Amino acid sequence: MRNRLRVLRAERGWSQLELGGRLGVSRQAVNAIETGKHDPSLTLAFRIARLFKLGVEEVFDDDGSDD
Amino acid sequence: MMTVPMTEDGEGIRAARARCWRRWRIAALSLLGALAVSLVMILGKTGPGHLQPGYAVAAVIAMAIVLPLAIHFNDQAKDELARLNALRANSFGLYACLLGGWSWLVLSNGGLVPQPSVLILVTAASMITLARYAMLRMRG
Repeated sequence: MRNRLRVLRAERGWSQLELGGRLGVSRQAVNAIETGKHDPSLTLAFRIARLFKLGVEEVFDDDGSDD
Repeated sequence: MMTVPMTEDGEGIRAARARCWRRWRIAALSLLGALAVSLVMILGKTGPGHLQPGYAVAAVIAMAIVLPLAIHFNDQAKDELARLNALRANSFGLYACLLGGWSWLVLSNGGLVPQPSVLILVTAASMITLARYAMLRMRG
């Protein structure tokens, strides 16, 4: 699943650690989501979207893969 | 599932870190308590009658309460990626324990090695689980 998390974070000038703190997850989790190694749960996806005041589909995009 | 009270701009870094550290501390203290009881049981004389019944019951109750508490608070302190990694590592450790145990038993029945030791198997599986978790964490 593709996502715009890195771009959105950079726009606000936040580090991965800072974003993780705001979301209640670790820096490793933020990095794993940004690099596509980990697809977040629905709860976390909504939390991310709410933090950036966007819809989930504006942050995450299904690239058509079944993984 | 970890619930996070959020302001409009998120929970806040300090609050999140403080909550995480609080849970880690409780988990570490509980784990140390459980470890202390385990060490006394392992390093002490083993076999029926070597531990006074009162101490034995107290130790079992302590382990039954303290160890699940440690696991619970440790789980609470993790985010979803860390929980997923812990699950993967636990599965890996379980497979290693099952495979190692059965292999050892078969070899033992063939007279090639001594009888399997539960303590060695559990310790080895724990070490393998920890190593696997560390690998998964570094990869993430």
